[in-house]
Amino acid sequence: MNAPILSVRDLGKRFGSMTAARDITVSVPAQQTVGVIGSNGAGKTTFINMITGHLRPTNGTIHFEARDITGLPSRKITTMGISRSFQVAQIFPSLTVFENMCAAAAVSRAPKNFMGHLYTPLRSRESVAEAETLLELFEIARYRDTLAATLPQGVRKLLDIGMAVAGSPRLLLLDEPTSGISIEEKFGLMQVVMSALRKREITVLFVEHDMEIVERFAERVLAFYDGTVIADGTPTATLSDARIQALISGPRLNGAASAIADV
Amino acid sequence: MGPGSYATYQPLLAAGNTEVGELILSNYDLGLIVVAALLAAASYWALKFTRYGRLLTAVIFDRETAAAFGINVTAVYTITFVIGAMLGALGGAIMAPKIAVTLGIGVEVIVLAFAVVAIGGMGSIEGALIGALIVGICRAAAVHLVPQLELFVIYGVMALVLMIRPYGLFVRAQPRRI
Amino acid sequence: MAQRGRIAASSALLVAAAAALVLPDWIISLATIAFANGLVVLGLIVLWRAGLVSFGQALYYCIGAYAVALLGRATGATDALILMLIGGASAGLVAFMVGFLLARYREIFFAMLSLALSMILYGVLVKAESLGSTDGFSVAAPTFFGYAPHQDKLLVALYWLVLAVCAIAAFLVDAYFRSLSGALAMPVRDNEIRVEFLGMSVSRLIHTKLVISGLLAGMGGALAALAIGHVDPNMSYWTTSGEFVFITILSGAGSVVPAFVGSLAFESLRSFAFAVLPQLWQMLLGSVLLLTILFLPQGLGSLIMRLRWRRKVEAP
Repeated sequence: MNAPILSVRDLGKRFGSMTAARDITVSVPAQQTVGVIGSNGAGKTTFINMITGHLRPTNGTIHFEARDITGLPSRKITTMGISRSFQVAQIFPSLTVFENMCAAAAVSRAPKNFMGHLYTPLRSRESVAEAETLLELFEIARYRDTLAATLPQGVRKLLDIGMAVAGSPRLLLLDEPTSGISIEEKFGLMQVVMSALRKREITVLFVEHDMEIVERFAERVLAFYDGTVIADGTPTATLSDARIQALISGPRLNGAASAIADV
Repeated sequence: MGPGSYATYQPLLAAGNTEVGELILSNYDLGLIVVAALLAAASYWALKFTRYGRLLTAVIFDRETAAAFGINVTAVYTITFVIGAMLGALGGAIMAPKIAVTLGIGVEVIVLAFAVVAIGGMGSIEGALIGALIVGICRAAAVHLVPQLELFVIYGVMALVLMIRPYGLFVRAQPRRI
Repeated sequence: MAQRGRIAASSALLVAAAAALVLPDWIISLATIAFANGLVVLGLIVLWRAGLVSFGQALYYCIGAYAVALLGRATGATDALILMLIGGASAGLVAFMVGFLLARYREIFFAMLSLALSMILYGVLVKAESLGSTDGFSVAAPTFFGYAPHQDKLLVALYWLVLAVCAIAAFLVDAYFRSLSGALAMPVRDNEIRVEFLGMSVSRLIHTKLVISGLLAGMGGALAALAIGHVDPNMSYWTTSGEFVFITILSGAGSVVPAFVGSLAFESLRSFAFAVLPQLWQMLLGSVLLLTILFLPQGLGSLIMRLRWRRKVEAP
């Protein structure tokens, strides 16, 4: 059996006397798509932040591709192959979409030595090619020369995720990718994102509040409650679980998910 | 009028002195301290407890949201600017009897004022008060004790404070927007 | 710079160089100092693009100037190029050390801290009796690879050296803006956190810009010292930094050439104002700044930009 790409053991985080996360043990095989659900304050974001190096765990370990990354700084973790997107799309408003993508591509290709950023051009052939490819992949090429500040929300999110992918990560963490997107557009957006990520063979963990999205796109669901994982299984099984329904998702509307997915 | 300097020391003399033990304190100076304290208290109260003060705080924290609530952001900025200018003018007027009033006295004060704000923290009235006290005392101490440092003690203090507290002493916590 | 821009700039450079043979001394002198200051402004532009306004460039300007003066006094060295390089390097070294501290600050705190550092140097120099205190001391006339010209030939020689240095600096900085480090200035200004999440260290980027601007300001100060023939602590006073910021606003931070055009405009304006309105020249200068901020906030450079191309802002 292949080694899991991400292996988390007994992970926990305390802020003083307040426990934000505890006893999290999860193993994610490569190229799996995992949906992470749970109410606000349940520990999902703390979990993500610990994996991306934003927060230092109080206890436990995180292994990425068999390497121990517990407590490493976020910039190091990014260069090792883990990227994330943001709930509020973090882009560069003064630049065009193409320039945004080009910057992301160039940074990930820059040599990591002391002076690397001085002699690397921004618009090298590789960065430009990668930027164009990503724009096509995420179907935002028609916004290529638009100023990022003027983009509609859906395109901003796609750009944000695209920029995270520019670094060729093997693991991508999406923080509420469809939040702020209208219901008609949610599925379309996730469709584009998922097919792009599948083409790049990236393992995905995405945090979502929309259960229909989770059901449609996740192969596996992690349910968080009170700082720890209370369920870990297929979407159907997890979302049918009465306890999960009581604590997180609410009653399941049978048939509704597949109906919307056909749109 | 012209580029010469003016001496308006009359109020200073008229106020007289008070003797406290061996020290002879100028009544004008004492009055100045009282006025400054009153102004600081008044500003603090106005910012925290009046309707206008709360409007201003809202605009400072999030301009867009404040505007969305119907607050006239431009008017708030303008009024605040005017109040600031008035306070500056008041400061100059009060200081006039103590210094030679000439062109360019504003220039030195600008940097001192910014230094006080940098030390105290932006947006904090308590910070401005403490910062001003620190600046004044350090300066006076330097002049008397270590004259070689007199010219740049302010900047040294400011550099020191900023090294320990990058946003000033009484900084308000900034929420992160991710 | 686009191809057309390069041709235009090169022609302007040649014209400026040739003009030295026909223009009166006082104009050449003015232009020399203006272009030396232009180097400082170039450094400010490097920082400006990343959203940082330094009110302390006078620190490096003064270090460059005093390095030249002290070296001349201590060793009798007078070669202009060597002195300038040493002046620049000294300032660059200080910028490198100071950068570790300064790179952590932004906005007004960055401005005030940089100001504080320049004022500390001012205080030290004023109290230094051996360095002439507030009077400063004079700088010997420069020589050029052994050639020691006199008077008007000296003026022209120095002018040409300054032009050459400015041209090379402009070329290098323009190349820098196309490198990853230079091009990331705007993203850093827009969204620092995102740049970090892409994997690039923002402090390292800013540290680099601080060193570059320190180097440039030091070279500018060294050249100015040679041109003026005198150094004094006022070169480190905050109003000197303020002047450089003033010129940067006038020039705009869009590209490299406006730094020198703006500097020349500023020096000319100052001389013109003083000649025409000896009592009110500051008012004239201040009014120009006011009008610039109101009607041309992106500086002179933006005028040229507007004539060249327009940016597509609408969504398809």
